[in-house]
Amino acid sequence: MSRHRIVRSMNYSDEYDGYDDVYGHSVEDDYSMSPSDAAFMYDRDSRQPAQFSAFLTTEDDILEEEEDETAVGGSGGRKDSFVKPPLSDVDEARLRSCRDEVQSVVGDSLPDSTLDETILRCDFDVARTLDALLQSPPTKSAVDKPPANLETSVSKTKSAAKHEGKDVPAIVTGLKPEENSVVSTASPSIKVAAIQSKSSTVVKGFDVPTSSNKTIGTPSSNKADVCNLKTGETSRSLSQSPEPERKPQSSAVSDKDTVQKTPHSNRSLKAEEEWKKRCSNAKEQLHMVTIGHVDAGKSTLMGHLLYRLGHVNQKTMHKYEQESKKMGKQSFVYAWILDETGEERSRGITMDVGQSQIETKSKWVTLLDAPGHKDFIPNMITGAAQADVALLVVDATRGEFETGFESGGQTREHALLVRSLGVNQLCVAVNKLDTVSWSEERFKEVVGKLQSFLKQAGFRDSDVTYVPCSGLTGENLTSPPTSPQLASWYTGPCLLDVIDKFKCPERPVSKPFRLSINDIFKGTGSGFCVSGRVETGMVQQGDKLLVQPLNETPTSAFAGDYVNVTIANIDQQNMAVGYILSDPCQPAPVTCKMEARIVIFNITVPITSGFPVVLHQQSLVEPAVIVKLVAQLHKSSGEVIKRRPRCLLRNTTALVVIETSRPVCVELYRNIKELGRLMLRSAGTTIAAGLVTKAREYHEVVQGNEERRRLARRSEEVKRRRGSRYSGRRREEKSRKDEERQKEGRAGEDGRIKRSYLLPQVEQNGICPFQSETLSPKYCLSVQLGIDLAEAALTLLSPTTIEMTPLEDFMYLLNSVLLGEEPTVEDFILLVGTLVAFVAFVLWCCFPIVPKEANAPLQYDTRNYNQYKKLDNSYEAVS
Amino acid sequence: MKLVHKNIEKDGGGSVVLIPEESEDMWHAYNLISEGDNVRASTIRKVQTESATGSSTSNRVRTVLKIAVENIDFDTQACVLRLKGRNVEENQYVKMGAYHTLDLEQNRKFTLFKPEWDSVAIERVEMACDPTQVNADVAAVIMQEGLAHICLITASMTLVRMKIDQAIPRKRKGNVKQHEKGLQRFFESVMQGLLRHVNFDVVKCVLIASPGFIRDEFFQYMLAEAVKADSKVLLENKSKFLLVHSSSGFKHSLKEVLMDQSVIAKMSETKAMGEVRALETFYTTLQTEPAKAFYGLKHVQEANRAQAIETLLISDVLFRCNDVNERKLYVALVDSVRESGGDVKIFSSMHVSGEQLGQLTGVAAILRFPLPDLEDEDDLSDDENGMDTDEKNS
Repeated sequence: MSRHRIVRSMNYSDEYDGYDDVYGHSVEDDYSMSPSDAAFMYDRDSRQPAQFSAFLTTEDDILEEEEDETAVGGSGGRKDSFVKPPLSDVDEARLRSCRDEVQSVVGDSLPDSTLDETILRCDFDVARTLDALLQSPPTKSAVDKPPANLETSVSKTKSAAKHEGKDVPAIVTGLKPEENSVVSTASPSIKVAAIQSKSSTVVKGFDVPTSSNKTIGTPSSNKADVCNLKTGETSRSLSQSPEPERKPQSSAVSDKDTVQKTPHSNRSLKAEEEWKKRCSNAKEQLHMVTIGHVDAGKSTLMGHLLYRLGHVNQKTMHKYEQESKKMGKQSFVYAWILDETGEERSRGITMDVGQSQIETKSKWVTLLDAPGHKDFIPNMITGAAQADVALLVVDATRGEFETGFESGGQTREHALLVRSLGVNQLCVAVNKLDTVSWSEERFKEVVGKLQSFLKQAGFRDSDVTYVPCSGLTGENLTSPPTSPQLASWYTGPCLLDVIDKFKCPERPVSKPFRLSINDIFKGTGSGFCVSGRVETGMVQQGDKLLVQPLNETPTSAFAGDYVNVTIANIDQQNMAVGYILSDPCQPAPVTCKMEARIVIFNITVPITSGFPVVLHQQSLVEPAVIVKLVAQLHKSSGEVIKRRPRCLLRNTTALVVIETSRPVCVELYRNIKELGRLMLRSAGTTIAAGLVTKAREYHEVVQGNEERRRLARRSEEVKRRRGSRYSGRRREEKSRKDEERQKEGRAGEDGRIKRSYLLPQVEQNGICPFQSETLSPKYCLSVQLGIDLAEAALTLLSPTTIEMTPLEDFMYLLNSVLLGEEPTVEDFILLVGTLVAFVAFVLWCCFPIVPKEANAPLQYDTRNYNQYKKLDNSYEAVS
Repeated sequence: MKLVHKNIEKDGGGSVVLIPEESEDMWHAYNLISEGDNVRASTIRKVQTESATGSSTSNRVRTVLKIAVENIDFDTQACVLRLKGRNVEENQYVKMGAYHTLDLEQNRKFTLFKPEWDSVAIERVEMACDPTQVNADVAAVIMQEGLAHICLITASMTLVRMKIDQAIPRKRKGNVKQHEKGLQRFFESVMQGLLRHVNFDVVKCVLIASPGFIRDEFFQYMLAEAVKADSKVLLENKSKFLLVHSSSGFKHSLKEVLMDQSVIAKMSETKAMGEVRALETFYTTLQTEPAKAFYGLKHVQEANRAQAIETLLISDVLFRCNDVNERKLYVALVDSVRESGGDVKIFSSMHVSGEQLGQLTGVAAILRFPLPDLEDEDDLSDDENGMDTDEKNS
C-alpha cells in the first residue's frame, strides 16, 4: 500500500513499459495491491489471499464460508461424483496430513472422498473442515440431541422479540431522544440487536441445532478462536488449548449441555436471533464517512443531501440562510447543517465529525462528516473508524484539485487512512464541477489521476464509483442531472443511487461485546451517557458491562449500531474517550506493551527505537513510544529481512514493539479486527498503519480481571445477604490479625502467647459467626481455630481463594447451586476445602488441644491483661 | 550555582564547595554527586539526650555533617535533592557510621568530595557556575481539545507542572451546548493552572501551542476573562504570550514547538533548542545517509575508534549510573571524541529530546565520513525478539 508513495517521483513511462495497455490491464484488477499490503487492509469480502494466511493463522474468509454452506448442503447428492482435481506434490501432502487430522476426530464415519472434497474446499484448514463436516445435516449425533435445546432458544427468542417489540415503537414513533435518554439522536432506527448482516448466514446457524457451539460461531474470520474462547469460558478451565484441530471436537462434546446454561452462550444465541429478526424486517444499516481535502465541499455536499431528502425543515434552512448571509458566508449555508458550533461556523471549516442519518431505498445510512483540515485528522480517524464505506470528495476546480491531491493535500492521506481502517468501498464525488461548466475533459482528467492512485492505495476498480456533482447547486445528488451540459455526457447514477448500491459488510455479532467509547456527555436522566460504535457483539438494557482499562463494572443499557449507553455506578470523571466497554465474562486484554506489524508510509525521519508517536486505535488517542524494532520484513512475502534493524526507512514493513505509558485495551488483530488496528502518527503526519500481533497482558489489571470475573458470577443476592460491611470488617480484622501474628511470632515461641492472640479475637469478635454470649470461650476458640484451619486448607488447595474466607466461599457456593448456576471445578475445590475445614473443626471440638505447660501461669500482654482476665479464668478451668 | 572553593589534586581527587542558588542547581548537583562520594553540608538532626535521671529529651540541632553517599533521591517536581548515607566525620551529636539523610538546601553551601574528578564532572561544575548563561525561563502550554500540559522549560529541565485531562463532549446534532460548555470549563482549568504555576516575574515567554484553533480560542478566552476579572497579571504580560502550532497536545510535541521559527526568533538560543536541533540532525542523517549516523554503545565505540565522530549525542543518565566502571567508560568516550576534534553534546534527560535519546540507548553519533562496514554488523542481537523475552520474564 505504501509503494504508491514512490509514484510521485517515478517515471510513468518507464513503469508501464512492459504493459500493452496501461489502464485496461485486466490482471491488475485482481491484484490491485501488493499482497503484503493486503494484510494491512481490512478487506471484508475479498477472496482469501494466500499470503495473508502466512502471517495470520486462522484467517478464513466470510464469503467462502457462505459457499461452504451451499456446497455442503449440496454435497449429499454429488458426494460420490467428486473427482479429486490434479494436485501438486505439496498440496497432495498437505491434503493427506489434513485428512489424517480430520479422521482422528471424525473417525471413519465419512468416506475419504468427502473428506478430500471438504478439505480442498476449505483450503487445507483443519478447523474449518471439521466445522463443515460436523455441520452437514445428516450426522447421526443429531438424533440424540434433546429437543429441549431448541425449545429454550425459541422461548428466548420470544422473550427477546417481546423486548424488541417493546422498544422499537418507542424509538420509531417517538424519535425523541429526550424521552428515552439512551436513544442516539443520530440513529433513530436503533434496534436491540447490535449488528446486522445478511440473513442467509444466520439461518444456517439455526437450521442445524446439532452442533450448539457452531451455532455460536458466525462465519467470522477466526471461528476456531472464538469457539475456543467460549469453551474455555464455559468450562472455566484456565488453560486454553492451543491446538485448533482439537477445538471442534471438544466443543461438540462438552458444550452440548453447558452451552444452553451459561449466560454468555445464551447471550450470543440471543444476539444472533435478534439480529436475524432485525435483518428480516428492517433496512440495512450502513455507515458512511466523507473524506477529502479541506474546502473540497464535504459538509456542503452532505448538508445539501440532507436538505434534499427532507431531513432539514424549511424554517431552519431559512434561518441558516439569513445568518450566513449576515456573516458574509452565504456559500456555507448547507455546511451549517452539520457544522453546528460557533467556531466551526465562523471559521467555515469542520472541526469535529458531524453525524446525521438518511434513508435510501434499501438502507439507513449514517453520514459521518469528517473534517478535512490537517490538524483535525485525529478527529477524522475516530469518525472513519466507525465507517463501513467512504465518500471521497474532490474539488474539480482547476488548481484546487491539484493542491488537494499533491503531497501537501489531504486527499491522499485520507484515502490511505480509510483504507487502512478497513474501508474498501469508495465513492468519489467530483464536486464543484459547475465551476468548470461541467466539462467532461476535466472530469476525465480528475478521474484518471485518482484511478491510478486509488488502485495503488488498495481499492479495487470495481469498488470505486465516480460521480460528477455539485454540492452547492445540488446537481446530480438525489436525482439525475438536469443541467443540459452535464446530462449531455453523463448517464451514470446519481450520488444517492451510488450510496444505495454499497454493500453492507458482515457484522461480527457473536463475538464478545466491545464498544470503544467515543464521547462522554450528560444525558437527560440520571447518570451520564457514553456513545460509540458497537464493534462486536451486542448489548441490552440492564446488561452488566466492564469499563476497561479501569476495570469497573457499572450496569448499563441498550444497543444499536452507533449507540448511546447510559451508565450507572461509575463516576464520569473516571471515564475517558477511548476506553472500552466490554463483556465482563470476556474482557478485552489490557496492555501497555504490544507487538505490531506496521507498514511505514512516506516519512521524512526514519523510525528508530525510542521514537515517540501518537497511537490511534478506534477512538483512542494515546502517546506511545516505539521501544523496539524487532525485525524488518519483506514487503510482499512477510519474510524477515533483518533482525533488529537500526532504523526503519520509508515504505518498509516491520515488526515493532510499542509501549504506552498508560494501559490501553487492544485486541489481537486475529481475534477482533476492529480493535486490532493501529495508526501511528507523529508531528502531524501519519507515519504508519499496523496490526497488533501480540499484546502483553498488563499484570495488575489482569489479576483484577480474575477477581472481577468471580464477582460477576456472584449473584446480587449473595452480596446483599453477606453485606458489604461485614466483609469489609472481616478483611480489616484479618490484616490486623496478620500483623499481630507477626508481632507475636517475634515475641515468643511457646503456645501461650499464641493463645493470647486467639483469645482477644474471640472476645472482640464481630468476626466469628458462631460467637455468642451463651457459648463458652472454649467453644468460640474451637470455632476460630476451625476457621483458621479451614483457611489454611483452602490456601493450600486453591491459591485463588485466599481473598475469601471459607465461610464466604461456602455461602457463595451454596447460593450459586441454589440459584441454578453450574458448579465448576473451582467450586468443587471450595467444597472440599470447606469440608476439610468442617472436619477439622469437629475434631477440634471433640479433642481440644491443650498446651502441655498449661499449668504454668499464662503470660499476657500487660496491655490487654484486664481484657482477658475473665476468659483466662475459664480457660484455666478447662485445662 | 556559585563556586566558593575548589581543591582538586593532581591525582583527580579533591573537593569543591558550591552554593546552589536556584532550583535548577539542584539538578546540576544531582548530576554531580554519585554514590560513594562524600558530601558535607549543614543539616538538622533530631538528637536524643538522656539525663542522669533517665528521662530522655529530644531536640532538633543544626549541625554540619559529612556523609558517604549511599543513596541519591531527586524529586523532579519540587527540585529537592536528598542524600542518604553514613556519617564519616566526628560530630558532637552524631556517631560515626550513623545514618543520616541530607537535604541539600538552596543558598547554603555544601562541600563535595570525590575520589576522582573526571572531565565530565568538572565540566558540569563549570556549566553550572557559568554566569553568562542566561536563564531564559519559558513556560509552555501544549494543548489539544480536552488535554493540556503546562510545562516550565529551563536550561536543563522541562518540568510538567500540570496535566489537565478532561473529557469534552463532542458536538452532536442539536446539542452543541454541552460541547461549548465543556470547552469553557476546560479553558477555565487551563487558565487557573497557568496562573498558579507560572510566575510571570521570572518567565520571559509563554508559549501556547496546539493543533487547529484551540490556542487562539484559549487566548481569546483568557484575555476576555482577564478583562472581566481585572486580572493585572495577565493583562500586563500579554506581550509574553506566543501562539505556536503543534501537532498534538502530548508532551513530546514540545519538540516541534521548540523547532518553530517564530519561537527561535523570539527566544535566544537555549540548551533545549540546541538539543532538539542536534537530535533532528541525527535523524535526518539517518534517513539520508544511514552510514553516517549510528547509535548504541558498540557502534559508537567502533566509530570512535575510527576517529569518525563529528558530533556525539549522549544522555546524562549514563553518567549517573551507579557502576563506576561504566561511568568511566562513557567519560573515556567523551574525552576521546573531544580529543579527535569532535563535538560532544550532553543531553539533559529532563528534556523531551533527552528522553527520546535515552530511549535510543542514550548514545548516538553523527559521523564525519560514512562507515558502511559498521552498518552490516549485527551487534544488537544479544537480546532476541524483545516481546518474547519480556513475556518469558513475566
